[in-house]
Amino acid sequence: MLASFRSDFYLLKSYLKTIWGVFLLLMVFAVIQQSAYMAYFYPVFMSIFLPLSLFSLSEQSGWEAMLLSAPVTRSGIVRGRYLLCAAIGGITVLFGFVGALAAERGALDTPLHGLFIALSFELLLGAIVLPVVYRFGPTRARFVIMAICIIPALVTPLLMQGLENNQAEVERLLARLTELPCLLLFLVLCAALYAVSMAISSAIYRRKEF
Amino acid sequence: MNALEIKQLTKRFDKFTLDGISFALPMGAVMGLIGENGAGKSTTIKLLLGLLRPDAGQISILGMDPRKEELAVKRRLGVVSEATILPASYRVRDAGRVLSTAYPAWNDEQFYGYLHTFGIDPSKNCKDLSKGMRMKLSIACALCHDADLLILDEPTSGLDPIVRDEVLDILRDFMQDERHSILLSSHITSDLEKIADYITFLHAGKVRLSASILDIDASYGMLRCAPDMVQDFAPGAIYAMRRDQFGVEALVDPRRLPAGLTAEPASIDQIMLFLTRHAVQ
Repeated sequence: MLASFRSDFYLLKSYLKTIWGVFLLLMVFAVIQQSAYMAYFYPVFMSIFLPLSLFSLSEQSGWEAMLLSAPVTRSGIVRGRYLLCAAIGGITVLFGFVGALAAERGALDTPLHGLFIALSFELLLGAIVLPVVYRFGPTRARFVIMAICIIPALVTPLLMQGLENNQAEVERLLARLTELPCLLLFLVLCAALYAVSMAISSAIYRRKEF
Repeated sequence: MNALEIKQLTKRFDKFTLDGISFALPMGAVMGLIGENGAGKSTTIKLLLGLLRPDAGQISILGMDPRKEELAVKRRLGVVSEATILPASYRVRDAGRVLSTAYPAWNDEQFYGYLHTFGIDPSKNCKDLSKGMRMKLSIACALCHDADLLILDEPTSGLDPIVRDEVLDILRDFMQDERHSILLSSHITSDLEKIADYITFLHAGKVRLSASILDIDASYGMLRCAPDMVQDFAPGAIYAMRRDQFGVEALVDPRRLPAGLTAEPASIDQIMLFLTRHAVQ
């Protein structure tokens, strides 16, 4: 697992400099705009494009096949990759938290809620995207992910009418859901989903041929 | 004991089948795996490394079944492949760091020693190395964890003759230890003639020939003669032949030639070419 984690980190090293550079610019923008949620947008979005980039780089280099000829198990490679994606995403979200604190001029409430939501979504999206990339490869996975992203866009307008009719109830529900214990529970659920996703990816990867 | 033993190994694809191939590489020997493009050399190597799953057949590496003892086998394998060369974004030392976490017997001192010998700067990016340097780096990576069997897929392909000779020297050094063995797939048969003890020739997914160089020298020769002469040869004396304006050029078994006729030694290239294109049915 450690070999895979290191291997992927070195593969991403120069790419990370670029995406963190862009992130820094967005953070400055978030602070100027005083928008805590803007500080979290990029880290969450990153959980979609980071795996795609990582798999593309890995596929181009052929290094994965080389690593598989070393004494490394396939599930170890999957675990290393999941760990790296979670670690990079987690670190970026933490930077986002600092940015959100600066944007909110030191007020803790919104940045803290944002931190839990961003971490949860980072894990949730990673849990969806990673098995898709393992199954379809980085090129075809882009289209599958696009299709997955379209589903909420199609469903939301259908739900809107019902939500507008029960606005007060929805607001009450949202208030409950954004309480810290609920957010913490959501984070735990997303982490569990991430673990399940890792097991699914391991099963897919075990059958893969190079 | 055999370093490598393959029995009836089969892998089916839509347009190609590796068809029940069998061969064995004795411990302490170098085997050249030859064949035209698409003959099944890389498929065989991928099956050995577990990158492909066989449809049938058995593989034994260093006396172990790689499917049951995958990690134990891979700890004792060194792999160099043209297709799996180090990523361009890696610095040279990064490769060592990654592999040191994968191989328990990784020797950092030996790795940096090889880099020094090969004149490779550890802080350089792999993309800034020449093809020859990258290949040497891959070989250094394969040699620094006390491997007993090297599996090399086209290691000298695309290299100039001087670098190719240097690579062969490295492999000869590796073979100083009698426990060490090498399976070397290559198009460049002249390299194999310099280093191989055994040759396995694949054609269209089948083993056409697997024998020691000594046996090959004894069993294969080239003969040029008049077309009517070949009609009197004993059955099985001619493996392959082609007619041209000067008569017949044949790949023959020198032991079965009529008295008075002497065959010239056949090169691996000639054997491969004749068995592939002009085989007698």
